[in-house]
Amino acid sequence: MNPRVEDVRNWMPIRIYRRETSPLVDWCCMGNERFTDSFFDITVTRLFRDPFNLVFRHQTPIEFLGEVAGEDPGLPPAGFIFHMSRCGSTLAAQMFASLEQNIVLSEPSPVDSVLRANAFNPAVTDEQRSTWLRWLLTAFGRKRTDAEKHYFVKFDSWTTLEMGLILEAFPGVPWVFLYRDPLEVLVSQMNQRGAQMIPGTIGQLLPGFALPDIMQMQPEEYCARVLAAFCETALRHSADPRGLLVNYTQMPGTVTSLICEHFNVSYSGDDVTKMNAAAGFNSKAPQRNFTPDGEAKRDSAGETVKNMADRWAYPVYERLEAARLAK
Amino acid sequence: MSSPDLEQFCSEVLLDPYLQEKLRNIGSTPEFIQRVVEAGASRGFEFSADDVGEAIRAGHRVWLERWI
Repeated sequence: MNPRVEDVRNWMPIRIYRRETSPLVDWCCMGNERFTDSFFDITVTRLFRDPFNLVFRHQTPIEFLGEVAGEDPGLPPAGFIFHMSRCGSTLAAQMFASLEQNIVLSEPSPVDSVLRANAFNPAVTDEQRSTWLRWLLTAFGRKRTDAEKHYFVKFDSWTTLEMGLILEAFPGVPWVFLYRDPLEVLVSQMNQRGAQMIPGTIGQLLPGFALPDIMQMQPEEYCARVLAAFCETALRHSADPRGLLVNYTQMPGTVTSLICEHFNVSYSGDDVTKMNAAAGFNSKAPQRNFTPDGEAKRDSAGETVKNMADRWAYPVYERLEAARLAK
Repeated sequence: MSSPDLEQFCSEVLLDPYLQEKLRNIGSTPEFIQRVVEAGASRGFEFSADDVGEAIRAGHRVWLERWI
C-alpha cells in the first residue's frame, strides 16, 4: 500500500531501481537535515548513520512521485548547473548550499537512474523519462522550512548529454554550463578518474563507438573525447537565451554576480559573505582551502595528455569560449 | 525482511509519525535495536534483535549496491 503524500512530507526519494514493470523508489526520512554536502550521496550516507533510516523506508512505485508532485509541488527550480567535471561546479553548488534559503541538490543519483532508465530497459520512452524527471525534481523541491526560497540542481557531468531532454522538461528554468581549459580537466581526471571516465561504467558516453573499440583507446583519448562530447552538447544549446556559459577562470566570483543574476536570485550582503566563505574551501575536501591550480595542472601534463587535449577537446573548448565572449 | 512480524511493524511505523520520532536519532545501534524490539513487542509483534540487526545490514547492502 502506498503512503499518503503527507506521510512523505519530510522524506526524500533517494534511490530509484529497476523492476520488470515500473521502477520503484526508496524514500529516506530527512529529519532536520538539509542537502549540504558536496554530493547528494554523501548526505544520504550521513543520514544512514541513524539505523532508523536503514530499517524504515517507504518504498513506492515511481508513479507515486507523480502524486507528490501534484499535491505538494514545492519550489520550481531557479537554476540548473551543467558542467564538464573538475571545473568548479561543486564549488558553485556549495556556495548556494551555504544558505538556508537554498535547496541544492548536487548530482542526485536518482536523477541518473531516471535518465538512464532506457539503457536498462529499451521500452522506456523519452516521454516517460521526461515525466519521471519532472516528478522527481518536483519532489526534491518541496519546501521543508519557511526559510527555503530558491531551489537549484547541479547535475552529473555526463548528464550534460541529456540537456535536450532536461531543458524540454523544464522550459522555464535558466541554466549554466561550467567548463574549463580541457588540459587542466584532463590532468585532474588522469590523477583520479571519475566513474564517467572509465569506459563502460556510465553507459555509452561516446555514441557511434562499440565498447570493444572504446576499450582499445588510450585512457587519455577516451577522457578527452568524453570531455569534448559534453562540451559539444553544451555548445549546441548555447544559443538558448536561458543558457549561460561560464569558464572556470571566472570562478568563484561569478557565482554571486553573473550566475545569481542569470538565475534571477539575489542575496543580502551577509549572505554573499557566507557564500564567499564557502568558496574559500576546497569543495570536495572542506578541510582544505580552495586554491586555483590551473597553472600547476598544465605544467604537470605529460605529452600524451597534451596531444589528446589538443586533438579532441581544445577545438570545441575554443568554440565555447567564442560563444561565451560573443554573448 | 526475514521476519513477517518485523515487516508488519515497519509498515505501522511508516504510518505513525509519533513512533517514528521515538525511534529516530537513538545514539547507538544496540540501543536502537532494543527499542525497536520493545516497541514491536508492546504492539503484539514478535521479532528478535537478530531480525532487526539483519534489517540494518540489508539496508546498508541495498545502499552500497545502488550502482549495480
